[in-house]
Amino acid sequence: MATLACVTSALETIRARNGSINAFTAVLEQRALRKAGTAAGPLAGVPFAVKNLFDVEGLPTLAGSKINRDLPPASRDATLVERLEAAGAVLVGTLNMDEYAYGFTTENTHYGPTRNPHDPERVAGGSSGGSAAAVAAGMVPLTLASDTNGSIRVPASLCGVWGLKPTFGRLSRAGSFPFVASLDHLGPIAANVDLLAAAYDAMQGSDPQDPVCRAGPVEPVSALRGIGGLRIARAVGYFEENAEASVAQAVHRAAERLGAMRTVEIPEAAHGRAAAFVITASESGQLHLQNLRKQPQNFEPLIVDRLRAGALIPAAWYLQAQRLRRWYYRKVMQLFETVDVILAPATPRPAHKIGQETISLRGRELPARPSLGLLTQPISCIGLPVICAPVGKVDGLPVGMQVIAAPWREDLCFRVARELENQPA
Amino acid sequence: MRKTIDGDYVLAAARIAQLPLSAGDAASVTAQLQRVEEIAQPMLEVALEPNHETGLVWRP
Repeated sequence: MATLACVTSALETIRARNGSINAFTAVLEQRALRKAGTAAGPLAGVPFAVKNLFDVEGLPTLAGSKINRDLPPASRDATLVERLEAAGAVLVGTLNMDEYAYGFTTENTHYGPTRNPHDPERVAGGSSGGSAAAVAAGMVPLTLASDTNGSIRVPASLCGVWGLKPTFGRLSRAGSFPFVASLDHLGPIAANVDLLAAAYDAMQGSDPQDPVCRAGPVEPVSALRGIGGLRIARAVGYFEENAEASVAQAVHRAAERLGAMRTVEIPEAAHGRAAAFVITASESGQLHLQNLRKQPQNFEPLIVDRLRAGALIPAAWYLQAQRLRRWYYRKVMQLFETVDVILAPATPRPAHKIGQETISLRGRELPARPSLGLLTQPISCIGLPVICAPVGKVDGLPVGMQVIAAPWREDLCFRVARELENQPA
Repeated sequence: MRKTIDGDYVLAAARIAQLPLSAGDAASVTAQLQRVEEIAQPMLEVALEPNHETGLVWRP
């Protein structure tokens, strides 16, 4: 009965709040009530929702687009949805996003913008804006999202919730609509670290349906506590230059609460970001080339020319970007010989207004939509695990901090995240 | 900084890719691609070793 009550309560909250936030694109009331009756396991009765690029049986996988409405409905759920439900969680709906995940603001022309629960005039971040806003608004405590260049971490930062982008290859991507196969990650967003960890533990494991997914042991994190012995440092250089001073100060204060006085410079971060930018443009443009030829009028107006431009990128640029990842990865791994965890701001600034075309950053005027990923792209470019942790407010709006570790060391990210949760700003 | 992308490149590449572009589209796409080039240019000038392989996952 408690399980059913949790799900019923979530459905009522969604009915009451979604109209003003626009996080959900579908609410699966009948399915949720049916499954709630039999849910059992470590996540029993936890209502959750998924970015609408996850396959959900019986629904077309929209990926934020109008074009995909005409696809046949998915014949089964995505692997991660199946795993969460096997642990007792109950799927209650699907969530808004930037079309084909190409954006950082969830200003979706087809389905409307998702609004930031902390200020409905402002963006929720993206591309997983629905996933972060649904948690921040208290509609569900747990959502699934994707992160290619920052699409978990940017909205988690702007909405003040917890997000995990695991190591590239850690969680199965089977049954999700791709954006950039070389860079796509899936992961959870949650209201607290307990739930983030429990969901992550439930979703780990190899999957032959995703060739990228590692065939390694499950490495649970739910019981981990304490940061004793960890070498934690704060990233400066690129990561301070591309964040407003007030955001950098919030990260500095969080680092001090952890006793992390050391600073480091992540080498060649700008090159890493540039490589991610080129790979993203090229792979996404090629992925959608057929539809760009046949029905360009049905694309999101905010991205159609970015996709077209990506489809025309010279092969030499793309291959240089792919090879540079290895060069950059080796340099960053040398840094991890002297440090276990690196802290860095997740977004350059707090959420800006919906419809705003540019943002001001330390005297520079930058295009708003692509620039929100300045601080996240250098990290996902080489697949490092990151938790985005809320670290307080700037001008009344939340900002987040990236807690970054070496590949396959999500355990370290979780130990630091728990410490941060226990010592709030 | 050397820039190579212009309207002629976009029109030629679009023709090869069989991507129809109106004149207005071509101007906007050119601007987008020039922005990619601006961000990419320093990265494109990094000298890499032969053992810096591509990052693509290929597991037959």
